[in-house]
Amino acid sequence: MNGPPLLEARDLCVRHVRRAGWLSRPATTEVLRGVNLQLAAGEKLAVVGESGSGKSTLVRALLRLIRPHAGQALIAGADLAILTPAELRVQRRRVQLVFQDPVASLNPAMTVGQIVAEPLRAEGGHSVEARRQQVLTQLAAVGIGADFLARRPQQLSGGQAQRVALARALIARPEALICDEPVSALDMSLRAQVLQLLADQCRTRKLAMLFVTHDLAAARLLCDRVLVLCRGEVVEVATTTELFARPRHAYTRALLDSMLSVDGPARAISSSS
Amino acid sequence: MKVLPRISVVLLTFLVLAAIVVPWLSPHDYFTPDWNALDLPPTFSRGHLLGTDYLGRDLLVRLAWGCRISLLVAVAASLISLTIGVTWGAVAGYLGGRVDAVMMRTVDVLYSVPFTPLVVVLTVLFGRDLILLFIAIGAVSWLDIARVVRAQTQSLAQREFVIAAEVSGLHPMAILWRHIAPNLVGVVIVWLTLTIPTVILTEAFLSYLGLGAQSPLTSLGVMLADGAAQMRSRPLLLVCPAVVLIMLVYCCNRIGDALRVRHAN
Amino acid sequence: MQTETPLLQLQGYSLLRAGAAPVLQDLSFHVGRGEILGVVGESGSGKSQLLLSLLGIAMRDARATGSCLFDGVQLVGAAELVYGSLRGRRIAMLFQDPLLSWNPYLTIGRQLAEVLQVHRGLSRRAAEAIAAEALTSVGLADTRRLLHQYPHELSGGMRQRAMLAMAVLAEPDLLLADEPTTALDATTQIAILDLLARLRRERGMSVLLVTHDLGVVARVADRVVVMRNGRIVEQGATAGLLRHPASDYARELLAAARQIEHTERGT
Repeated sequence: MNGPPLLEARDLCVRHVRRAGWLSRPATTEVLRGVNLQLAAGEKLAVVGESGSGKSTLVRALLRLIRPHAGQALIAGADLAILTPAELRVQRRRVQLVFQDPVASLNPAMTVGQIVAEPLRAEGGHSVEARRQQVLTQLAAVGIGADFLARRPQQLSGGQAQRVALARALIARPEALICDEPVSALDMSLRAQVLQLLADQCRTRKLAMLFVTHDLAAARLLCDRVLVLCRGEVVEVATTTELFARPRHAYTRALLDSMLSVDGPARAISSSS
Repeated sequence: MKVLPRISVVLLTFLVLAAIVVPWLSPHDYFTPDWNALDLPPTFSRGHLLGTDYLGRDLLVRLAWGCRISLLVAVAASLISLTIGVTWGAVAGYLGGRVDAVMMRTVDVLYSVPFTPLVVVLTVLFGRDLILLFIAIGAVSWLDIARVVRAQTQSLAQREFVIAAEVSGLHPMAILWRHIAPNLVGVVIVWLTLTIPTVILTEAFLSYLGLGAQSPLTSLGVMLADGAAQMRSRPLLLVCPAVVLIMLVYCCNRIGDALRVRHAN
Repeated sequence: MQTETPLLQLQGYSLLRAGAAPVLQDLSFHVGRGEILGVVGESGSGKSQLLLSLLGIAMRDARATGSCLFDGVQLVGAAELVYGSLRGRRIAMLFQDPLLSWNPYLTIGRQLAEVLQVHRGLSRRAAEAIAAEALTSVGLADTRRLLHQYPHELSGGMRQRAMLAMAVLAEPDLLLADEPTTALDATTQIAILDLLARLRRERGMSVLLVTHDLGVVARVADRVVVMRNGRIVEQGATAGLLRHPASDYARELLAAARQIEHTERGT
């Protein structure tokens, strides 16, 4: 593919500085240590890691929601660090976020209609009626009916809230979606549905996706390539089939071995006398 | 809601209405001395339901006026501090970094200014004036709400819906106004109902020291001071404003407490 | 083992609330001695309420009916005194979030020792020695140091291990585990589940394991109870139920899980 990748991290480093007491020396933790990542247009890349691996920090650093200590974050070749605040806002809009906790990601003081219309408001230049039409279209695309417009986030189930959050992301007409553990707060029976919805929307709209997860199974379901993150470092990048067939890094193998399956060997039964 | 807060709401409404209506209905006013009716005990015959003070002014009407002034000072001063405090705290909390540091250190410095001597100095410089009282109390009590709002804003700014708004390209001031401010309403209302009684007490305290409302205008604090002077001969002059003050403060606190509990859930 | 009466036997057990839908309705199942029973359900199925009501700490306005026999003792309508003698001694509980279940202001050692001091009347010193042993038995190393650490200084997996050590200190007959691995990483989850299975094997302890994850059940449970809206939809031996579910709901859950697993792991 020609041209710069849609989303890119070059040697991205993020440190957290924590002061334990006012006399002690501040302690720095390296959350990201020189992460390199490229997401091409239309590509689906999974970032897999466990808690503390720095995956949520990576998402925020990619959009410059936090300032990296070193390295660059680029959207379509533009280094976010040298943009003016107004330019940064325009660039960010090309990439939209879907979060883990669907209820926390919706403003409790707004209605569903207002929440989904918000990116259009930010864009400006849409009439009230045009906004309403677009909101209805996007909500319909994620399977939410017009009767939900006046509801508030507290009145939605987890699955419905996540659909609304997805509609809000899609209405901004992004080129890429970053999904940060989008289904791990949902009930099992809903997870497959929401993942399917994500996959469908990405396909029909030709969106790139950065899928952040701790769940290798979900990564396999959705993504072309997998990047394994361990303690702030990329330990392995491979295509999905390659990674599952021939994991190179010991940590990847440990992750694969700890995947639970409903069809897995029920060890306990065989061992009980 | 439980029973006590409900009673408090009813009682507070009654007090406020009475403070507004009584001076209209009564044939007497609060400032004209009546030399034929000095120090009267409660009597129906001339309409002095609670009697008169040493200048023959009707106690009930003065009580209503005292209530009006105390409430006016409390509400006005609270609104002043609300405006300053919420803006200050929200901006500091949302922008963070150096702006936050400068703004909050300012608050810390102001906290350490001794309040009562400051008011004394102000009254000496500018004379006794009700407006001065608003400003003095308002200027000090916004510090608390600024801190509370800043903390709340900081935690809201971390919430995902705010991040989503940032990513959708909304201007920071628009985020502050549309996404953060509406979620501050709860804390602010709770703070307001708990601050009004504090301000009522502060006003009473300053007026008792003679730094508040100036005669013939009165407030609950002024009436307490006058009443205390004649405590032995005319206990009613002390008891009446004291009871009203206690009821006002108690009701506001009860309501504020109930709101706080409800907000916490 | 199988011929004895089960350790816990519920018959027509319901948890009712005045003026609301029943939280639990007509549950009948048992937990055998040394058995791991998985209770599977989604949010709102009442699975967590089940555990709390077994400990006698269900919602205040709720009332249990039916029969619930723990080692022959009827718990429905039992006095607080009866529950008090069981809680922590014969029935222990393991919660989802290992951080929330620790008191942040006390060291791990203090909290472990307290259990022994209360339940067995041991001295502080003797209690700490046993506590150190217990920590070793759940696979934690460097227990001397661990005893003097505070909960936040431990990783999530270590906290849950230590919690498990605390739960089994009093050598309970029954362990109630509420989503014990949901808050943990995948690699840690496996370790904790295997630890549970080992403790059961070594001590003959029964476990009632509540989870939303059929994969967890497949890994450790002997039998499964599937719950939905406070009722039991289906129950049976794990392998059989997972292979040939009888109810539509269980089939749905399995289908959803398999859809994510996508392809069978090639082993």
